[in-house]
Amino acid sequence: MKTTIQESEKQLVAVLEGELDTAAAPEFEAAMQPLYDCQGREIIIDCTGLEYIASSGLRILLNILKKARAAGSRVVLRGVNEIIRDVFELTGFINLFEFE
Amino acid sequence: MSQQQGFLRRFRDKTGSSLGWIIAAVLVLEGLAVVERLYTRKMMGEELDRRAQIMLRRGELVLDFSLDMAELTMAEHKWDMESHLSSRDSAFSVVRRLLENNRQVVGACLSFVPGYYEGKGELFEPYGHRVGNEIHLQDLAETDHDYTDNPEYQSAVRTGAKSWGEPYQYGEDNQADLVTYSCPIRDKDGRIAAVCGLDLDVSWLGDTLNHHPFYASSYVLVLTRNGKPVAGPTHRPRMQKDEERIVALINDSTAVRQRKGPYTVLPFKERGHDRDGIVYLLSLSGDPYWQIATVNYTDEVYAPARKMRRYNLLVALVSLLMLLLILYRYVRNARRLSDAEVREARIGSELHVARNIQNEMLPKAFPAFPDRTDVDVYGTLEPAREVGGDLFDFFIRDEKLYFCIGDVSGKGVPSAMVMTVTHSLFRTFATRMSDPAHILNALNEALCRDNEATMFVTFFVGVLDLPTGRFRYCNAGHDHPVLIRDNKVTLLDAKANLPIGVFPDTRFEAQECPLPAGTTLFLYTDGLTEAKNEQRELFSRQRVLSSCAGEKDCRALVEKVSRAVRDFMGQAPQADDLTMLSIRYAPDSKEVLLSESLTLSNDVAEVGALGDFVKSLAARLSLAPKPAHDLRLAVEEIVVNVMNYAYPEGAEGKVQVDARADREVLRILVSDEGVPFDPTAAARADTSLSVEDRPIGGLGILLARGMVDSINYERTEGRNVLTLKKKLI
Repeated sequence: MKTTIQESEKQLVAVLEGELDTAAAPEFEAAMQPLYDCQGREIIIDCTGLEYIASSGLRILLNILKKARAAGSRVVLRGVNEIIRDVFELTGFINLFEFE
Repeated sequence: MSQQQGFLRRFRDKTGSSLGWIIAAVLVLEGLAVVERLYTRKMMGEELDRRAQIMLRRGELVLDFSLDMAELTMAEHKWDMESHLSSRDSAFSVVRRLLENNRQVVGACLSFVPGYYEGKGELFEPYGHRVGNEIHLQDLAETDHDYTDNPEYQSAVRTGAKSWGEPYQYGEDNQADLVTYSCPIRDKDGRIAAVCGLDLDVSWLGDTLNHHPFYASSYVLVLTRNGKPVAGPTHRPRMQKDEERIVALINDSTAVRQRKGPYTVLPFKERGHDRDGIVYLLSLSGDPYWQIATVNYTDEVYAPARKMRRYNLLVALVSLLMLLLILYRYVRNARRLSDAEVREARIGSELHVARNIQNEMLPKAFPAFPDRTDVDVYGTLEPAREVGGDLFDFFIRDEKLYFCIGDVSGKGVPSAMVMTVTHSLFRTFATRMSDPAHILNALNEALCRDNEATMFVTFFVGVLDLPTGRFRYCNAGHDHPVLIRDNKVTLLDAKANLPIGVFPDTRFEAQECPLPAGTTLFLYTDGLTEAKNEQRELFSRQRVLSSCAGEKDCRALVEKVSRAVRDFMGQAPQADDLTMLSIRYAPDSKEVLLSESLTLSNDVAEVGALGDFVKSLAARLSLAPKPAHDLRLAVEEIVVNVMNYAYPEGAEGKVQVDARADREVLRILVSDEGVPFDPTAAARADTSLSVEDRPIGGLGILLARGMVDSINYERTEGRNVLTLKKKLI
């Protein structure tokens, strides 16, 4: 699992690559820490390289979303593949996040 | 108010047609009365005819007799008179003899032709008449009475024939009615010497003929051939005018008259009196050709008919009243009856609905699990009455077969209601609990809570774990189920316990035993063991056991026992509900494609190894990326869940993952030795909530359920066992 954060004035872009299983979750949560301090900037999570996500990963994304919403930021998931989209659908997360 | 209106409306409905009947009855009665009246009038008319004829014949007889007597007297004395013509003086003695002979003759005279006795004067008329018992004789010629002017005299001299004259009044106040019979008397030479006249008193005729009239105001009149009245009811002065009118009617040749044999009938209507009447007239066949008439008034003739009509009316009125009374009673009874019918029909339809509800709740689709080969279930319920107090149910949840059978004490609607409640409670509890004892405890508490009728239920709950064959059950006073295996029929070892619904604090404990493949369970209610034949013998458990032998198939078994009990009962009535349930457990032993195990410690860092393990399984089973992903995610979520919750915080433990697959199914068993924990019992996460409301937890089990075909929890031999099943075909 590899997580890269690119910050700019208007945007925060997180690029996720690899498999986000429960074991990788603590490390991922730490890597995503800058997103918690979004200060109204738009958050884009690029999932193009994401191959797998478990409920622990979903929980972290939900936390980010809750914080961002409180700070008035949008959260956009980009490039989610079909299989992972099914996971979002099953959990109802598909209605919470914006997808592009 | 509305009830009263309802009653009125019903009364109208009921009486509507009945009123028609009453009118018809009245019409029939009236019709009969009319026919009767016509018939009666006809009879009265005939009676009048007969009576009138009798009156007339009587009058005729009386007249004939009186006149004949006068004529006879004349005939007898004619010789006497003719032989004494030679002596003028002997004429007086002849007259005396005439009077002495017939007392009805009040006067007699011999009117000699003028100058018969030469030198003795022109006229000579010796005359005698009665004064009391004396007979006075005199020569009327001496009183200057010129009898030659008398028409009777002239007629007798001219024609030489006997004749009756016109009647006339005589005496003081004209109180006597007389009529004269004249006969010429001839001398030896055949010349007419004198005319003999006999005065007949007919004053008595009126009285005699009107004595005892047939109708109160009817009377008899005698008239001459010229219509002059001779006699009538003269003692009734009021009648005088009536008499005159009737005489005028008889003499009126234009009056309507009708011949009836020798009689003439003249109907009349008295003007101003409004009295109709009929006159019957008879003429004498010989001289003096008098006429006898009888006058009858219609109102008197038909008086009996009117009287009868009044009686008939009274009878009809009474009949009508009675009819009304009968109608009233009929309507009242009909209303009561229809109320009872409505009530019965309502209860009947409610019972029908109740039975439908009951039937709806029973599993009806058989074979019960057409896509399963490891288990089959068949059950029937034949209620003794419209609604029954028995129930059975079964369903599979998380690879476990939940089933129950029960019998509510009593029969009919109350027990059926308790049964329905029990049934739905079982459904509710069995979808949340997997321990049969828990289900029974919950049922018992619920039933005791509001059980004022103290109806109890004998109940048996079984939970069969289909992957492992582990059978757990709990009995509440129900008949022991039968186990059929390898042609051996035995009873399941089940503690009796109390029925549910008796004491709220009864604690049920589950029993368990492994159910080897190829076992058939047979459950029933006491309607089976207590079915009676015509000799009132019980079917008994022994016969249940013997009729179960040698049958493995669920449906065939139930049908065989049902046939056996029907044959046994014969014509005897079914006293109780007949309920049977059979379960055959026969998991196939299939070719094993794969059997792998992995043991992990309860540390989420080990999940990486788990991922690799599942990926290798998917590769060996050649799973496509999507099912491979789903399997990995489900297993990971379940294992992580166990790692997090099976062991107390900080305690180390093991989590074992076993994978077994045949051509059809991959089963992954996740087991641990931790505290009993069933993640499948957790409430399903609500996926429709908003971001703010969405809880962080509950996602794992939700994902796991969505990724495999079934997840089954089982606590067995001190271990939590979760079985994930994923179909490969």
